[in-house]
Formats: sequence, C-alpha cells, structure tokens
Amino acid sequence: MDSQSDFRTRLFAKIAQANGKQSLPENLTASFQQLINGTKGQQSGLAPIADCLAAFKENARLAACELFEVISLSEINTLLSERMPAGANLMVSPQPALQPCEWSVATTDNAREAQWGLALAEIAIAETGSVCLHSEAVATGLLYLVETLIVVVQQSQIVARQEEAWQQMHIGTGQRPRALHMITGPSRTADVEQMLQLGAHGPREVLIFILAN
Amino acid sequence: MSNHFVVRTQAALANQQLQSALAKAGGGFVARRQAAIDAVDDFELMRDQAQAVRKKSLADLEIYLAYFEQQVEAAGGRVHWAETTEDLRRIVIELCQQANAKTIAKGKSMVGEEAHLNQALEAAGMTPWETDLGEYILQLAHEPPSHIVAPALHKTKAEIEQLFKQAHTLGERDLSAVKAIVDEARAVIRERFLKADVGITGANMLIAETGTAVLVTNEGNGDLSACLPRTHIITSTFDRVIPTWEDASKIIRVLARSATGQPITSYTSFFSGPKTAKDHDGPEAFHVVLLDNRRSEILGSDYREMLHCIRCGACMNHCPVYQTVGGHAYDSVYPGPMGAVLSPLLRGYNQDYELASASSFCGRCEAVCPVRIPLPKLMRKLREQEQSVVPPGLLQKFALAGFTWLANKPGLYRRLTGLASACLHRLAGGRGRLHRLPLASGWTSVRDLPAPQGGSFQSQYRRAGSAKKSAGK
Repeated sequence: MDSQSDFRTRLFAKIAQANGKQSLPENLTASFQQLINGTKGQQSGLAPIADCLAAFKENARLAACELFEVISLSEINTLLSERMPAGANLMVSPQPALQPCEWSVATTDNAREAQWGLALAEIAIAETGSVCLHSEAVATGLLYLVETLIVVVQQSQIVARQEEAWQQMHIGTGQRPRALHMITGPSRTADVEQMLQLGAHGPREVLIFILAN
Repeated sequence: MSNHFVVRTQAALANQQLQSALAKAGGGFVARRQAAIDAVDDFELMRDQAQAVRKKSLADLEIYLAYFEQQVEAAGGRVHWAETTEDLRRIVIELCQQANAKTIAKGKSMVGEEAHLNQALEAAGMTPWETDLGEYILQLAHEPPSHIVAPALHKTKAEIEQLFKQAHTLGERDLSAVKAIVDEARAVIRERFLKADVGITGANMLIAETGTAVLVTNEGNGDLSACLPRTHIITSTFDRVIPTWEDASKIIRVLARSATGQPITSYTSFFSGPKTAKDHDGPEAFHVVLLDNRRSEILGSDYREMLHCIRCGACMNHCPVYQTVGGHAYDSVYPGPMGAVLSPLLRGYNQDYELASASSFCGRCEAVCPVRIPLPKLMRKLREQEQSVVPPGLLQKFALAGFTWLANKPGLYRRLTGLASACLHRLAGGRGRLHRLPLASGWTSVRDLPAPQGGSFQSQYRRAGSAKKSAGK
C-alpha cells in the first residue's frame, strides 16, 4: 500500500506539472466549487423541446418501447390479464404510489421468481424517451431480471433534457443515489454480425404507462 | 504473431471469414451513425460541447481527480492507484481475495483488456466470466477483441454457433437464428450473475462532484455485474474524470450516436458507492482502480488531445485501412486510427510506431470524431518521432541522402527526371501503362503503373507561362 500512496503523490505532481501548476490548491472543495460554478445548474444550451410529452412518446417508440396513456393505474390490470402468461409472477416495486392498487395477477417479492416487473419512474426525459429509476426506490433485480418491464411515468415528470432531470433530482455534491438507471427501451445486442436482437440480459419488452396529470 | 503490421495484414486479407465479417459490419455502422446525426438539428453543437467538456476536464484534472477520490470515499467506496498494468492486476486480485472470490462476473472493460486481467485472475485461481455477449464469444474462442465497441466484430454467425455448441452441453439444438444464440447466452450467463462473488466493470466516465462511475451498455450485463455481486470493482483510468453530471450529459449525447447510431444506449447507469441502509440491493464494497500506464506522460506531451477520446469507435468504423484488415492486424486492444496513436504511446514498443504509417491520411477519422481529435496530425507527429525511435535502415538512409543531394541541384534534377519520364513513356509504348517494371514489382504485381504523358510539371508550367506571354503580346 505504501508504493500505492507514493505513486498517488507522484501522479498528482505529474498531472499538476502537465497543467502548468505547482500543486493541489489548499482548499480543494472551494476550488472545485469555483470551477463548476459556470456549468452546474445550467441548461443544455440546445434547441428547446416545445412539446415534451410528444417528444418523449416519439423517442421512446424509436427505442422499441410500447406506450400506453392512462388516467388511472388500475388500467394496467387490463393489460396484465391480457398479456401476462399463465404461471408468470409480477413483482411490484414497493413505491408508495403503486401500493393502493389491487393487482389482478399473481405477485412476488422475489425478483428471481418474477417474469414481469412494475415500477414508477422518478423522472422521464423527452430528448431520448428515457426513464430514470434509482436504487432507493426500486431493486436492481426488478429492473434487469424480468422478461417484461412496466414503467409508470407521471406526465408531469417528463422533462425536456438530461440537465433538467439532474437538477430536479437535486443531484450534486453529497446528494446521490447509489445507483441511478437511465433506461431507454428493452435490453439489446448486436454482437452477432451486427444484427440487432432485443432481449440480451435484461427485459425483452419495456411497456411505458403515461399517467395523465 | 509477426512484429510487422504489413505481414499481419497479409494474413487478414487472406482470411475469408474475417473479410466476410468485415463486409457485413462496416457499412452498417457508417449508415446508422449518419441517420442518427441527421435526426437531430444540432449535432455540431453537441460535438462542440463534448469537446469543451473533455478539454476543461483535463485542464484542471488534478482538482477534479482529487475531488472524485474524496467523494468516492464520502460515499463509502475506495479509490486505488495503479501505475502499471501489473499494479492493476495485483490490486484487483488482492481485492478479489479480500472478498473470498471464486467467481467473477465481468462487464466489458477496455482497461481490463489492456491489463490482460482475465489471464491474471485465472492464474490466481479465480474464474472470470465475461458477460457481454461479444466478450463472452471471445472468451470461448480465446481471442482478444478486434473492435472497442463491438469486440467480436470479426466473428461470423457460423463461427459463434460452433463455439456455443462446443462449450455448452445442451445437446442437439438449432442455433442458426441470431435469437437462438442470444437466448442461449442469456440463459447460461443469467446463472453467473446470480452466483458471482465479485463484479468487475469498466467506466465510460467518472463524475467528480458525486464520486460516480458512469456505465453505458445495451445488454444490461453491466448493471447486473455491478449490482448483484457482493463487491463491485471498477477498472478505469484517471483521465476519465469529468466535473459534473451536466458535463456527463454532453458526452452521452455524442457517444452512442457516434458509436452505434443510437440516440442513447438502452442503459446509462450511474454508480456511487456501496449499498446504503436506504437501498433495496447493491454491493457491500465499492472499489475504483485507476490505471496510469503512461497516460500521465501523454498529458504533458504533444499528444494530450488523444486523452480527449471517449472510445466510440467511429474512427475505426470509417477507416479504409481498419475496414480492410480488421482490428487484430493492429496487435493491440486499441485498433484503428485511435489505436495507431494510442498503442505506441501506451506501450512504447518500437514496432507500434509503424501503425501510424498504416493510414492513407484520408482524414475521415478526424471528420467523424465526436470530440474532434486531430488524429491525422497526431499520426504525422508519430511518423516524425519514429525516425528517432526506430532509426531508418541503410538502404533508406542512402536513398534519402541521394535524393537530398540531387534535389539541391535543380538543373541536374530537371534533366534526370525528364530523361526518366521519357524512358518510361517509351517503355509503355502506345498503351500509356506499364504492366511490368524491374525493381517495381511491388506495384506492378497488383496494378499497372501509368506512364508519364508529356513533360514534367515544371516544364509544362514554363511552356504554359511563355505561351501566355506570347498570347498577351
């Protein structure tokens, strides 16, 4: 470990020298905050997105999501009874907004036994049709081990671009989820002769329910 | 494998399976990237923003890097410092031993490839399982990657089918459809995610403000490797650090568009530290191992801009040389134009300098680079440097000395070149082309040499000048 800390010291000296500086500043936090002042909290600087809902729908469809616009969560039951195969289990994320519903299918708390998963997005991003979910709200297994993933997006939670999403979630120094997953469509691979195949290691299908305000 | 690029390319050109795989892949990348760029109004602005992020990240790198380390520790993780690839292997093995690891789920990591981590883990008695489909195929084939984004690009479907039938004891089954191959890999690797003691992934970016590693994937294997095992180890390099999440967005916007022609990959994930009391799941230990391997020297050199690279692979997808010979001919985990610059700088092998000569300088690599790295300029610099690192042979020395002597005598130069072109013109007869020429069989064995028609440029220029003058009178 001594050689590692020796190297660390040498590396920082080399980087500072390459950047024409003597050493690290005395107050690291103050220097860092000063450097990021210009960009932290700023918008993307790209063309504005006038209709976030329309852009979200278009981009999510391009990413091979199926979209449903509903006014009540109970409408998900209709789809579940139509599409969920017999013997399959649904895992519902223990998020408060999903709890009042009665589900018409078999449910499980174990991601390894679930073929279908249902979770509520923290936020959705119009520019790419992405949904953001984090580890404090949803288990990784639910997002990645199921065959079909249902994500509920509240229409008011759709923002135009990533920068707005980070700001709305208050991500910054000291404020960070352990894992934030920005998901855009089902899992896929093109590793066999560059031919696109949906359903690599994660969900084969992503169904998005947009809940009207 | 030969030390000489030209010798390696001969084998690549004669390899019909490789040529068929390259033909299938090449054009698709180019067309998909173009379509993704045409679909947005402001791609050039996105490129400017991404380039600016890379530039400012390096300008104050020592501050961002120190802050990154502080934030990883604040989140309960640890940062480790590896000067050489040997140090990286030792540190990762020690971390795996601390975790009592027998099995390891691996996401794709170019740094892991650079350090030949799999062989080292196996030698230490552990079993690394590649989980990215491309990397898994290569692990079965015992081959290195040939592309930084699509590692098994050189493999045909038939070869992959064969590898799977040999490796998996599932009896007779039909694997002729791509879906069947993908489903089989899914089933085999699914068990491994659930069983592995440690997960090792790379990182596309490291965000200083929160001590976060960003992982960009399409398959979802990175997230499963990062979140299910008890320990998550990230292998990356110190130059991947950027200041904020807003800055990460600028890179994300150009990365997938340039790489695979997607607006964004299926999964863009941000990992910060181990599981907390509020989390449903996640690893108990979180380690970031940062490799130098001469990058700190590149930072202080004329090649600094090479560290702007975001590893999208667009340069190799658009390179006529890479598209003809494939990645293995470069004999490095980093092939194509970016590899031709990076390999000699990272490894310092004399033979790597000739990679910079494996370029027609058509300039497409620079034209498509999302962060506008002047790759041809850097390759030209390496060619100059090659003269001092690898001294030219005697024949080349004599030829150059002879040319210098002659070029300093304009009268003699004119007479001799005039004589040479007249000779060639006569040899060609009326055809205007030479089918065969002594001492030039390297050229004439594959194509005809066009014979000079009329005088040299200088003599024609003089004639045209005097004709103009007389016309003016």
